[in-house]
Amino acid sequence: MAIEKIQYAFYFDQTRCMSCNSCTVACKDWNQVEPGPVAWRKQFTYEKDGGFFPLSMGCNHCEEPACKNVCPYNAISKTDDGIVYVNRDLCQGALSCITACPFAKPQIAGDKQEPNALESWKVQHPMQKCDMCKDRLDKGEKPACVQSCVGRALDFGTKDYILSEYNGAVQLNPSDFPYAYVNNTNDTKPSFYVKKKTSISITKASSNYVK
Amino acid sequence: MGHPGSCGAYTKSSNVAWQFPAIAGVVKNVVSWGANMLTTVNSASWSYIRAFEKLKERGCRAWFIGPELTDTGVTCHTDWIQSRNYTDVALIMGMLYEMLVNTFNSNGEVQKSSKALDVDYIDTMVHGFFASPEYWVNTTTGEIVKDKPVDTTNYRHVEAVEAGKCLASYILGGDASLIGNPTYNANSTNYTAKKYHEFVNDMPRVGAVSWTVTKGAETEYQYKKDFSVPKTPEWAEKITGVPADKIRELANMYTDPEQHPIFNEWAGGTQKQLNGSIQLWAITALMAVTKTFGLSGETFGGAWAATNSLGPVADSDSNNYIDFSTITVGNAGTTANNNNDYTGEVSISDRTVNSISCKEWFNGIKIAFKDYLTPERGYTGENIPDWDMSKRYYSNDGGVKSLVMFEKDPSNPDQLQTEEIGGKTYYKVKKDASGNPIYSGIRMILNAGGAIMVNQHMNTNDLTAMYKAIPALNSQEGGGYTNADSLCLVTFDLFMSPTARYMDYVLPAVSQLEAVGREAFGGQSKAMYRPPVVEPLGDALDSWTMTYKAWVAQSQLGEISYGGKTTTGISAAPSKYTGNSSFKPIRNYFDAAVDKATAAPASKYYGMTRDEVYGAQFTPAKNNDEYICTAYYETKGTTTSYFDYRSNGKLITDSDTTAGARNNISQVGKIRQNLDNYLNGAMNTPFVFTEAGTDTNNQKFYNKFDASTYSSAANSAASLIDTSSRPEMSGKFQIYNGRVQWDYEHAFEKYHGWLPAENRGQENRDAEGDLKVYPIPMYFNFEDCFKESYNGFEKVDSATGENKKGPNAAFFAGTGRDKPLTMSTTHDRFRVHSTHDENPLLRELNHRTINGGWASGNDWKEYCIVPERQTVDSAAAYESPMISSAIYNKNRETASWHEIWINTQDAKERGITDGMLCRVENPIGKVRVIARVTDRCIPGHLNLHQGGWYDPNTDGVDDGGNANTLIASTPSRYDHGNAQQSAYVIIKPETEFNI
Repeated sequence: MAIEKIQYAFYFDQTRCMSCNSCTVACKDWNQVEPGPVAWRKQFTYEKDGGFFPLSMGCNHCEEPACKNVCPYNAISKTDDGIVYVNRDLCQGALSCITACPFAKPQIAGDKQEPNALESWKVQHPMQKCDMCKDRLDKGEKPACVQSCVGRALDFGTKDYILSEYNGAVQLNPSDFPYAYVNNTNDTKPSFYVKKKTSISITKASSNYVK
Repeated sequence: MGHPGSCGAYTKSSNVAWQFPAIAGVVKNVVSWGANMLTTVNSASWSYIRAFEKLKERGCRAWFIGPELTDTGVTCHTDWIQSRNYTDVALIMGMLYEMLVNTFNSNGEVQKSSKALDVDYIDTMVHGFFASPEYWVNTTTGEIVKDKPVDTTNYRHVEAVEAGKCLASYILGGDASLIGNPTYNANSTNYTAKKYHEFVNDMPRVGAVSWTVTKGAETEYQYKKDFSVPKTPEWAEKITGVPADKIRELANMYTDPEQHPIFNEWAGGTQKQLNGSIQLWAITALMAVTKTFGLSGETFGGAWAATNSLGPVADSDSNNYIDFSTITVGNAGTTANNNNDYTGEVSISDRTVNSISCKEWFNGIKIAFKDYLTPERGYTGENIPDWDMSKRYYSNDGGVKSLVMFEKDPSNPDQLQTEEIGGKTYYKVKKDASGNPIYSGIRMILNAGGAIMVNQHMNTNDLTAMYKAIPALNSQEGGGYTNADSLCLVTFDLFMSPTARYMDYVLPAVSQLEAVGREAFGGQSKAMYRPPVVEPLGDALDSWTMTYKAWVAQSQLGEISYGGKTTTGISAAPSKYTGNSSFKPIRNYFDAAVDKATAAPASKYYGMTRDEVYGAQFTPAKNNDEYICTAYYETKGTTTSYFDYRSNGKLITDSDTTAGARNNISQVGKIRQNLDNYLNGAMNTPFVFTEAGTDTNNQKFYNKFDASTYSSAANSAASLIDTSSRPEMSGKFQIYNGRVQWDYEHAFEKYHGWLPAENRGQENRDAEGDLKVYPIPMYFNFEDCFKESYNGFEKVDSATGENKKGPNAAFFAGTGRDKPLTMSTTHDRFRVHSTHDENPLLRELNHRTINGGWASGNDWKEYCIVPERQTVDSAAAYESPMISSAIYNKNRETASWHEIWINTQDAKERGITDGMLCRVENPIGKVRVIARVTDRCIPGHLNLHQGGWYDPNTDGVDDGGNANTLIASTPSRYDHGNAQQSAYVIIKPETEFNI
């Protein structure tokens, strides 16, 4: 009997995020990513059209993952629960995934951040990225970023759960969230749903003050 | 050392109290005079977010006023009114002007409209907005009389407010014709105004401004030049940057009852500005004048008025909660009695120990060790340009002038001897063999934790230079460890913060996760038990145990006074301390309180196990449908208990018409209700605003207002000589408060017999001989204040009367790229003051490499390691081992710096791009930082997140980006508190540091 496939997804409430970066730090802590530029998840408040928009984002575990499709070594796979998973033992450093991902989420560490390579690795620094905290999911726990979110802005579950629980959420798209698309705007069907924030109304400082 | 209020009026309040989430469901407008709640109060952030969410769902507005949109503003607010830093008072004056001209017609007659003030209310409850005569008020009947009663029992004296000194006159620039020269007259419609008319026929409400300006038109202070300028919205626009139309809109909102309730809050940093207390006083005045006070949770209070009246209150039925509030280090080691109560019996009440502002500790070191602070020893005072180094102390005085030794009364060691000088009684000063006072000052500091000395104090360069010039404790010059005259610095530290670098002793403390704690989660008013997560390492002790051990040691040495003073002196230390016999771990006390509750049939915890009780304290996580809070937000009379909340998941802000719960929340309390009832009546009889009473159903303002000057060491009976001229508090909102000025001028006076008569008390004079502290909240231009701090006035009135340029006048004359910008030092969530500077996962979040993106820092393995230079043979402040060896070794690829926020327009004008290494400097210090170009700062303003990450380089520039390196030592006006949020700086691309 065929196993029914599901698609896990992240939810993010842009109106609740307080930019505390608990998600960023909890992710690094749980997944033992050393301090340094590589971070599987990052939170930042972007500026767009005069407004300010927080976003916490890791790998979006796309339904049609561009990274997977371009990897010449089949190091990236999609699991039965929709996780886009990198087998670091298979990565040979082609780097094609780095630019294929619209969100630049596959990352390569440097020697300082990752000084000790595993014997099973074929390269000194194989690609790394979010795996939805597979080990936590196996224990029935939510990913570390979700669990740590102070503002309850993040949630996680099956795509069906997310869509039913959060009616107003929209799938990540380049029109609403251009700042998320740092490499390209290809539609990879990201498993990431966002409750959009409206821009704060700003009364700009008058030029009529002595500056 | 004590609270900043130890030396002057202090607005004692918190920014937002625990009740806010409970009332957010009923307010129509929230006005945040700056807000950084989500970052500064971690435990309350979720309830705050949720409360704003519910508020916005109802279509209400949340206004953020300030120069920098904080993360709280981004998350919670609907409107951002950009305004210049330090100018809130000018904005409020512009708003009040709009209200005034809408209140009176050209004949001075009162007009009724939604844009007008309620004059009857102001006459009844506000003191000093308009002029008023001297009078006496009967505290029982409210009746006021002109002349002093023969029997003054039950009467209090209310000071006069001259027409030229009331706030309305200041706002109008003294031009009463702008509002038709209004008077108290025969047509007045309330009891108070009629009485004023009876006392002084047709008494003018406003008049020509009469504050003294000694130098007249020659004054260099802009605020004095503006005394005679009407504070119109256009005037305010030029100062604040807020468009005049928006100022009028805000004014109209505050006067329109349809827009009420308005909930006001302020950012904690506001108070830590040079004129922070004035800003809070002005906000309080705005609330008082517009009758928008009285919501629980807003907690403006202190010297001017208390605006937090009754409303939703914590559940006071002790059967519904377990009170852990007395389990504090103040009770460490106390033997529980039969009721498991904790008496808090330890109190240092010795009058021979004075209490000065906690901010003035550096000044206490200066007065003690002034003889060492010389150029020969490397101390030039270059970073403290407003110190007259011919004096032994710095500011005048914050309590510092009382830090000399006094003769104790041999028959009563709790008392000092006194002596008569000029017909007045002063404490008798102890003198050395040469007849000079013995300057005790501060010679030992025990820092309980955190990087207090660097992070909670301004002017780190001066601090460092001072320490370097004073002989070290263990040096031969310092006299060795046993020399009581040397400086001894001790700190408890977890992270080896920058403060630890100065210490003689660093002692291990435990982190919160390693100790039992008593926490207020979700911004609640009552505390809960918090268990330790892991065991502490090594010799680290929790504060409970450490405190007990310290008291044992000091008790055995006879160094601590215990309460219960007898006629022969203070009582001896209890044997449990001297005998070291009664220690119990803190957990025992929590367990005892729980056991008591679980055994009491009336308690909601009856029959539960300890684990069940402890587990029931916390709000269960139910993803996005959690509760805002727990039972402690309940109001008296509600039928919903904590456990009901857990089972039915109701939100406190959900619509709920249950009598006793929501009804209380939607009203502003009994005090306000009494007043509103009066104002809706004929107002022919007195309103009893002064009556003392304990009946909570019939509260009078007295209870809230009578104690509304900060009671402290400065104005205690032990510090004052003659209080016969001290103004009494009126019992009303004190927009004019003569006691504040009086207390300031007479603070600590009884300790000042060793000084020339003119130097006793606190000096209330500026460089031109005019007042520094006024009895009304007026706008002090920030440029004036920085010119004082940086010694930058064009002309300085020296002792000879000659005028000359201040040494830093050129700084203020800069134009274009050299034009100074204001700089705030808002809290950063990521590194929580400075204690997490050494946590690389947090530090990297606001560190960047040159031209690197956000969080691009990668020097964590080169930070806080053994420094490259172990010793530096130099007295210069900046000559010390660097914390960042990546910067010291000029490793461009990895070295990272702290971020500074700069507006797009300012950056462009200065040739600064995002990620560029910049230098920020002023006459106090220099720092290197990386620019983050953002429109979350308004033009003319920078933001450097606060913290004590001081890391000076050999070129005299602080590469740690420590904000306090740029902040002058000048204490805040009125209270001698921190002014860490005040800086005026120039920023430019770094061109001299080649990396």
